[in-house]
Amino acid sequence: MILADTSTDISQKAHGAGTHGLTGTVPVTTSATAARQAVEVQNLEVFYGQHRAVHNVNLKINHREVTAFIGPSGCGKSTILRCFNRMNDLVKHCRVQGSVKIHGADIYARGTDVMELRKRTGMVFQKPNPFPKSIHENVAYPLRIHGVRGKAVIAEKVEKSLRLAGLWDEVKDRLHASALSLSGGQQQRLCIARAIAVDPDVLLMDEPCSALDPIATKTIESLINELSKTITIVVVTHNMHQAVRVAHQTAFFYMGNLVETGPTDKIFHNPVQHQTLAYVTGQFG
Amino acid sequence: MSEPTNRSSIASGSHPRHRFFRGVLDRLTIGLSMGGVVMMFGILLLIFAVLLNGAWMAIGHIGWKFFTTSTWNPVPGMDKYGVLAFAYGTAVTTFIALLLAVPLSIGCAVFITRLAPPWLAAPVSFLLELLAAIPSVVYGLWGAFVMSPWLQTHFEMWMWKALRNIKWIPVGHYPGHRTEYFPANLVHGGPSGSDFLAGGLILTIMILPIITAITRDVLQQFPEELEQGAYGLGATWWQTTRLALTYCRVGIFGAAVLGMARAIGETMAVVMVIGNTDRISSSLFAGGQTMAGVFVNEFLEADHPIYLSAMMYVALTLLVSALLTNLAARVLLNRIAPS
Ligand SMILES: Nc1ncnc2c1ncn2[C@@H]1O[C@H](COP(=O)(O)OP(=O)(O)OP(=O)(O)O)[C@@H](O)[C@H]1O
Ligand SMILES: [Mg+2]
Repeated sequence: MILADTSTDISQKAHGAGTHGLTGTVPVTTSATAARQAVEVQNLEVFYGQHRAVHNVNLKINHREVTAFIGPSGCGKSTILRCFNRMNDLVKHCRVQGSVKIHGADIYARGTDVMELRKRTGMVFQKPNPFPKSIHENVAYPLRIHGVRGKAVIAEKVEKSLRLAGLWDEVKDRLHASALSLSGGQQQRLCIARAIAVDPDVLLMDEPCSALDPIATKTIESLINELSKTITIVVVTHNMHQAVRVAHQTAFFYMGNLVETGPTDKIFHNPVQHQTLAYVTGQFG
Repeated sequence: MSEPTNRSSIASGSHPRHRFFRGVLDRLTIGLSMGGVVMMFGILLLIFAVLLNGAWMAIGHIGWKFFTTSTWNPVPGMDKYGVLAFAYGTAVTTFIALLLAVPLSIGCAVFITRLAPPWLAAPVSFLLELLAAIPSVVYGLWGAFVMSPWLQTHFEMWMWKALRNIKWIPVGHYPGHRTEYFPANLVHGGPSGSDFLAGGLILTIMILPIITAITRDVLQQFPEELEQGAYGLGATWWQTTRLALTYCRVGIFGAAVLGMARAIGETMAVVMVIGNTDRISSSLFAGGQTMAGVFVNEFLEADHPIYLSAMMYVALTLLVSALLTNLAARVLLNRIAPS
């Protein structure tokens, strides 16, 4: 948080370059930006019982950029993502080794407030999962559980989040209708609004568009671009075009290993590893 | 009704013979389910008619006074029949049972589905099903020989000592014109062991398994995505559990209604611990009787026509009140169900 506050102007500048990531051009990583890692993963190993799903992953995720995780099914993308907000704690027999630092703090350190961590590290899932409550109550839920009180305050925050998620104009006249009455794409944006309601630093998205049609996907993609001005985003995707469209950085995983990471442009057009090349050119996966 | 027929004729449009069989099957299924509905309705109507017919004489003789008096004196020649005390007994014991059993059951179900490790959840679940299968007379025996004496010498004694001198709210008068206070009135008369409390407690124990079992099944339906969603927002275990309970509230309500139905209709177990008198008292330590209880207790002794007819009148009252409570439950259910 301190890092973020002191370096706002630099990050904005860096981001100015970053917005062109839509076309695949990505800011060159300079020493100035290298210091601003939102997430830093060191020697990460994840086991499900005896099965090792993630093997010795070292990775840095830049602050206020979009990083895409790509790789064939079962290579461990979701598993790594779930290490960033410790959702793996909920999986029985799951064991995590190594360190994950978010803004410098080791989140697996003893005494970490996991609820607080998850508040600061929002998560959006593959299948839109709004609660069977009203639209308003969905976005108010995280506020309430984190102790925000007062009708006016909550209403204001709900509106702000819905606006950020690009959903406000569509739902402002039916805030008290059931969230389940929304379309799939709207539901997913509602889930994004819900996740960003408590101002997270990092947003984790696990295949957020895989259940949506192309138009809803487009909307979410431009939303990701928009949100990355203020939030660090990690997005898991099976859609290479999507990675190219939204991500500044891309990390390619294969069988639990991080094969290669770098600017999206480079990963897709000029990768170092032949496995990466084979994957991005569609030879397997 | 037309939907399944349409779908099947589209699905089996390829082969005429298939279409024929599907048509017959459709009609058979519809016929059977319609038949079931009609039969259920018919049986209910038949029961109603039989009871009404049996009670007709008492209705004519006693009329509305049946519901406004509480004296029950079947001695030939006296023949005073009022159902009020029994209705009160049913209401009080059912209320006590629901008050205790619903929160306890929800607690148990949460424990089984969300707290206990699998090696513990499975045997507890099994035990639960076992408890639900025990015949009520066995509960009654246990109640009369174990629970009642223990209540009298321990629990009620303790409760009596704790409450008898606490006088917060005046609630009425004893026949001797002494003012009655809450909560001291609840223990008026001292421990007896065979009273409303005992009846309510035995019912609690009896409806606990069924409410817990249904609540458990309902809670297991809470979608994993919502669970993950809540945790992902930083919800604690307890906050997520509350979300699950709200999500399942309709089902849990249904479980409580089923428990209530069982409590209202329970006979043997209650009769064995409730004291069997036609009294209305605000004291939990007073003996009483329920509508179902008086029926099982006296039906075979009803040796003259008006007595028998009055018994039928009790049964009719029980049936109608059970139907009405279910109806009320349905209305409430529609209120809490997401539209
Ligand atoms: N809850 C679990 N229990 C046991 N093994 C698991 C569990 N979740 C994942 N795994 C295993 O861990 C490995 C990585 O799974 P993960 O879900 O992270 O892959 P993924 O890259 O997200 O795949 P996909 O693209 O299909 O979502 C797989 O071999 C998988 O079988
Ligand atoms: Mg995955």
